[in-house]
Amino acid sequence: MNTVPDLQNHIFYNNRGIDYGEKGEYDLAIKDFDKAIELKPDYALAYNNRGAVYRSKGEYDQAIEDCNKAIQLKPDYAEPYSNRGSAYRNKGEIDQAIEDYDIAIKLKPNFVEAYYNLGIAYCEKGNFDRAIENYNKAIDLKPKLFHPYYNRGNAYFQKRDFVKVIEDYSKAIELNSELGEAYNNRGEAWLHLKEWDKARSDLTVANNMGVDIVEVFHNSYSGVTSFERKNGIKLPKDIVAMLTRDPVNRFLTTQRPLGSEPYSTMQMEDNISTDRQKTLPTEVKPQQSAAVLELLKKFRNAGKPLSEYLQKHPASGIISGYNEAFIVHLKTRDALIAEHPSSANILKPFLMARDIKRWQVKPVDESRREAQDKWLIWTYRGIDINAYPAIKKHLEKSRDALEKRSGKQEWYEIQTASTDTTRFTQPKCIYADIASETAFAFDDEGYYVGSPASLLPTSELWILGVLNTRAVSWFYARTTPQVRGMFLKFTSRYVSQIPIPDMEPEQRALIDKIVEYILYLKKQPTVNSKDLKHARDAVMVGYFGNILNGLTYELYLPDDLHRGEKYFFQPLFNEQLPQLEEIQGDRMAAFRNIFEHLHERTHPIRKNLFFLDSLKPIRIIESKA
Amino acid sequence: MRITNIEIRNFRAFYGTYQIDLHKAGKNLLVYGENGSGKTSLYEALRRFLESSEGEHQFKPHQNIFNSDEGYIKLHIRPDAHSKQSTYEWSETVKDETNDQLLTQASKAKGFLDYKDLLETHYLHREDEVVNVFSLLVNNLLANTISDQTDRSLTVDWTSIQPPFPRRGSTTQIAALEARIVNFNRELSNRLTELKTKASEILLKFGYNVALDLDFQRLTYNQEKKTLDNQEILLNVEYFDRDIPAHHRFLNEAKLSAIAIAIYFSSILLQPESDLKIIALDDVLIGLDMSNRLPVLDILDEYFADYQTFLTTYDKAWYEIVKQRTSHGGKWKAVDLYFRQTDEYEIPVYVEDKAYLDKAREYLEANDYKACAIYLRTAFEMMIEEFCVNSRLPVKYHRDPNRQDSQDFWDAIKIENQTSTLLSQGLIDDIELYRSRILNPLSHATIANIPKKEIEDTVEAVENLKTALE
Repeated sequence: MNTVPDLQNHIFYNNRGIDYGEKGEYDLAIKDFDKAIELKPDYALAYNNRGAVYRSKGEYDQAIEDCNKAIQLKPDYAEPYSNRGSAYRNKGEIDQAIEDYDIAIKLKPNFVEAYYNLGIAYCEKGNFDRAIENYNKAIDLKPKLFHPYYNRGNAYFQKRDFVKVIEDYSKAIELNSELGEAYNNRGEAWLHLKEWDKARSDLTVANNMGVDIVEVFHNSYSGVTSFERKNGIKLPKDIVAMLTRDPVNRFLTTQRPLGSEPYSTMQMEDNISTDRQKTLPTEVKPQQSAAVLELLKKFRNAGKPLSEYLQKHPASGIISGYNEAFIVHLKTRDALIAEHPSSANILKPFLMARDIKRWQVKPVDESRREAQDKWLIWTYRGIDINAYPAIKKHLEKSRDALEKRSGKQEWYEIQTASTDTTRFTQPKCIYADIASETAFAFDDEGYYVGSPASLLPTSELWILGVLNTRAVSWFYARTTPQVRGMFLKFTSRYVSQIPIPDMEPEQRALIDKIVEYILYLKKQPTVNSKDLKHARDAVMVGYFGNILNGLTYELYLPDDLHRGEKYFFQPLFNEQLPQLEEIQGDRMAAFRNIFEHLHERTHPIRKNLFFLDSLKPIRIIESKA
Repeated sequence: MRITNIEIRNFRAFYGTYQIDLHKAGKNLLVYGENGSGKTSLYEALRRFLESSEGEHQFKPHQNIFNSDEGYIKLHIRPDAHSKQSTYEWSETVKDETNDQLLTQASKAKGFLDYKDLLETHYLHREDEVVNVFSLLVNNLLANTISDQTDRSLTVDWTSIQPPFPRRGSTTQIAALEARIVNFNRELSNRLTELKTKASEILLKFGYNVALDLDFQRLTYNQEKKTLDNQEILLNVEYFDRDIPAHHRFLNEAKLSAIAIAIYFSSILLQPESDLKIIALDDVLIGLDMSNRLPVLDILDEYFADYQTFLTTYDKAWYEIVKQRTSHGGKWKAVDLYFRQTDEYEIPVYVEDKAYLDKAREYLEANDYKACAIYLRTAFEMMIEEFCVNSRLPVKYHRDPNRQDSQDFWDAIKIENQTSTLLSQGLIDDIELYRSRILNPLSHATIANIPKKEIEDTVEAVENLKTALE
């Protein structure tokens, strides 16, 4: 029944909000839900729907907040649990996500989307059997949806059950004939089964549908030779040609598409049906332009992957499984030590993701609302807990919750198993697993690091300097699966593939020197002060950071920069800048002099930085093209 | 590096093709133009041309609305008078030609100021010698200055802290907003500090021996009310050499304009220079009284000597003064633009283009009678005016030079002809006839009804007149 919209009717706004949400007009959708809530302040549906839209926008905290409100208003309402789960999942908190999806399913046993989302969460955890179980349920409940088939196919792929893989992709294609990725993946499965004709045909279709089959193949197997070696299969020449682009690319770019984003569940209210599920369109990563691909290639050819330099992979932060018990503040720490001196041995200075900024950890920041004084109770695997009576007593208070954690640890032990503490006590670079740009911090104070944050086992400052540049931020954002919105996920797999440019020892030394300047300056009160008297000191640090941007561009794209007469290394060599420890007396005064000199209107460094974006590649990287 | 030639076709007010020759040396350009005569279109042509190098700038929205033949702007640029020139074109179909390092750099370092940027000085509330210039600086004068930290313009940084603000209680987003505000505060404060000395130095050239104080007390975000507070930069002046009582209103509009111009100039002078250096001022001196305008010429001379300068004005008297002042040394070229109108379209006429009669013929062939008539009339008017000037004929005097019209010149020539018989009676009769029908600003509405033959005859008559007067 079509009637004139009733502008005082909350249902009208709710439903129109859903329409906007589905079209991707998130801000309009949110406005409508706002209005619906204004008209009916206890409107749980609208809170849930707004939460779903916030999640789609990448505003996870707001999404969680809205879902909480919806749950509070209507505790038996399943949808907000599922949406909150997805928001947690997007934030990298997979266990929380699984918990929420489980509740959603308990409340609503035929909740297809929740099963589907649960499948994706288990896939991300690497538990493909549990993932398949959940996709099965989703398929039983709604056999006409193609997503669960496609994703189940991906899970079987991981298990190398290629017959099942092909069944699932075929079904997905039957339900949605425009699924280029399914053709591609099925084609790859045929390769494993040595069905060359079928493989050729599928890969050709995928290619014609716009899938970059070479890229996807390289991401999965890092090249034809490696595929042949690992699988003991020799590919026909024409297929090799289809899957090769010169020169062979040894880097990962994007993951095998793990499947579409989990469903956001919005609920429509109308006269006909009051329980219609609506889903948001799935997100598609835009195709990279030829110019971008060319630039990515130049970056890769300029050096070798980070993990090759380090000879190690990044290490993940600690998951305690119950932070409420394991992380204590200064007061509790002091009390525990007072109670029994042995406590001091296993109370470790601790950092969380949000304590990490570019260059430094635990910034002296006036805007912080809480004191940065976290300590971790480091009850590693196999610890003799009775040697630490005060700690044992403290943990005892949370024993119920601690025993409910998954995993094989004792109730008083931390959930992650490693006993290797040197990775924390040695100098290292730390980074949050989710951030909007590369933000690596240097720590030589032996902080223990909590998940979702990770560390690079290195004390080489020049590596830190290269990583914290626009060039690397750009490269990383183009080569990693993006989390929603503005956020990037920094997983070991992709971080270790960041190309570190080759350079001469003196170039390295120069970058080291400037990073040392920055680390020193970042600790100075005037640099961190909000008092505008000191604004120029803050600008100075930014300028040194920008000099690193210039140097790093020159390392990745030497030909482009030199063709445009943009040089950074040479003019800085000419300056013969002092090492930090060579600067005697008033260091700040010395730095200010250096800065003012390098910042003069006519200084080549200033000029070249100012006009750097007149070069096309830089315009592309800095989104000015 | 100088622009030696500007060619504009069907861009904004420009109907048809216009050539502005700045000679091998790449002279500075002084433009007089009535309102609607296209002087702002010329300013915009240069600005948009340079900015088109920085990214997606479509020509199409600037196409002359009366003439659908594809427009373009072409600049000829030459490193110096002895080197070969390069031509760059910006149009809807020619892509990427402006996307050149030389032009991108020129665009980033350029100084383009128009009267609109200064308009706000007229509305500022002046009290106790303290004026809030926040909006004037952030939205206009410093909008395009670039941060050395972020490499972004102030406008971009300012936009990043505009509403919609995050919802109350969403701590992550509020913290992110506040971090951006802290950065903005630092950036702006730093720019203001850098500016003060230079701006005071420039103000001295205006004859004001004052120190500028730009007092900015950082922006703050009010979480409760969701407002961005303290949008204030208080302008205060301190006198170096005089004690001036507080009630003395130093900051009148003219002085504020001078201060604004001094601040703008300093902001340009604090950034690195490009190879091709352009500064363009579109009518900005209008807000200044005469005593404040002349120093601007000295400032341009002293601080922007190696910039190629473009000045436009609609004030004829000021134009004549500048023209006279810049007439030595061959560094400047002065041109006039006139506004002509038919019932259908407007057409600026560029006076330096002497070949009006050729243009009239061209448009006649193209059956564009209205454009033909405009050029005919212009040819006629310029011809008789020049004749009167060269032959020193007495012409009726008007206190207001804008009221001088072609009738005065034609009358003078007829009086002169009574003794000299320069022109035949037949020719005079022809001209008189066509004056009423075609060579007349009011005639354009009816021109469509005039047969082509008659327009041809008019062209011939004006050509005969030209021969006779020569």
